Amino acid sequence: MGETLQTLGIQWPKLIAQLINFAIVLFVLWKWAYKPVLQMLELRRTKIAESVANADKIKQELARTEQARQEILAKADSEANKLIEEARAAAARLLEQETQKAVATANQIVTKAREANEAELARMKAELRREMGRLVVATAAQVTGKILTVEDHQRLVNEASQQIAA
Amino acid sequence: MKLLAKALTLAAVIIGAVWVLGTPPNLQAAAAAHGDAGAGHGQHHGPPVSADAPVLFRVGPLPVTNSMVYTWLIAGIIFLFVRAGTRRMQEVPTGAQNVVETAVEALEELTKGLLEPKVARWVFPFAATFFLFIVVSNLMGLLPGVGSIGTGTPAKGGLPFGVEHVDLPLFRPPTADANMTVAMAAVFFVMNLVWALRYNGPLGLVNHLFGVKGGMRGAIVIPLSLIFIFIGLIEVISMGIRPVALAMRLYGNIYGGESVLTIMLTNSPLGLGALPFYFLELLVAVVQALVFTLLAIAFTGALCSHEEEEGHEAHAH
Repeated sequence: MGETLQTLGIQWPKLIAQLINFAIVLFVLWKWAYKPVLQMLELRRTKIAESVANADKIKQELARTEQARQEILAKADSEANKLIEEARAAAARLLEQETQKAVATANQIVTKAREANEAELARMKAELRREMGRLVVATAAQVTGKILTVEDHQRLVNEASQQIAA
Repeated sequence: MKLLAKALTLAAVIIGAVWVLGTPPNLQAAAAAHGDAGAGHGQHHGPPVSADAPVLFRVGPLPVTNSMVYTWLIAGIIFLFVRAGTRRMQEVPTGAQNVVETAVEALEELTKGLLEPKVARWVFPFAATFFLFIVVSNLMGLLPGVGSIGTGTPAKGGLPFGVEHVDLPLFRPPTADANMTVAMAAVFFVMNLVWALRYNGPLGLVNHLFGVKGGMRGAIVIPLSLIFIFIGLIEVISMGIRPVALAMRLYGNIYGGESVLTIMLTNSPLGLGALPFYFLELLVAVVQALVFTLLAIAFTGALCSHEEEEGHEAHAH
């Protein structure tokens, strides 16, 4: 055993020196390699997790926005349809009203025309009667050769008028 | 992988031997003359690379070996590289930061994959340091000049400062020094015990080692407990052997590699014979670092795992 150690050159001072050397390497690596690198890896891991979570959130937000957009579009669509329907109904109603108004006006015009006609006819009839009365009187005066009194004149006119009217 | 490496090493040694035996007569004669001269002057005897790390100088009573000097150099390079990588850390890594991050993350994943999360957190700094230090040492041990620059008998008629054989190299890879591998194994042994106690508790550890496993109940426990006490004793012995095996495996592989490279460099034309072995040693450098680290993690895992799970697994099998 001792001979083997001797051959291999294993001696306490050398062994302890190498132990210290190894401890120094361990310290150097721990302080300036493992610690900062593991911290950085952890930081990166956290950031990646955050980014992934954010991406998910953004995706959800996007989906929500898209849904809202669709809802707004659908609402706008239905409102537009409703408005169009209302406009169409209003137009139909207006058309109906205007038509009725036109019909009423036309009827009024026709009635007025008829009334005017009848008035004209009545006036012409009266004119005719008066003319006839005058003619009858003139004729009677010529035929009879006498001058009629005012009473005769009036009486003849009345009689002629009554006959024409009859 | 280890078997493959060993097989390759064996093949390399055989090829090397054939190469030396098949060297042209004039070279053989020269080598023989060199050997005679060496023997004649009483210079180089023994292995091509000394088994122990030679002492370069002393600081008071403390010996400073060439492997210690190289350890400081390696530690300095690791420090500079790591500082360059993590001085100004950015969220989007570049350059040295990328390398440091990749190494640390890969080793963390490796540890986490083999151990429970809590234990992995304890073990990770040590396992990662084992791997990084060993792999850097092994690879830097293959750099030209390591083991070949130093003092020795001046060569006759060669280049200035040329030596016949480097008796006292300036640098030696720390992993080719048994003191360093034993120191690392000792760190592992102590920490392994600390983790086992922290994880199981003193009584829990005794129960883990000597307790009857497999969820047995009733009278059968009495004879079984004798068997399990025996198994526990074997386990305790193996706990003692594990660090020795770790230290000797690493030391043997790297020291062996150094020796083969030295033999091939000095005994083949232009040192070309060493070329295939450099590729082999590159592989060995990484494989041995991984073996040391993985075994350290696996040994820790054997002591720091829940017995109930083992019982269930045993039932399942």
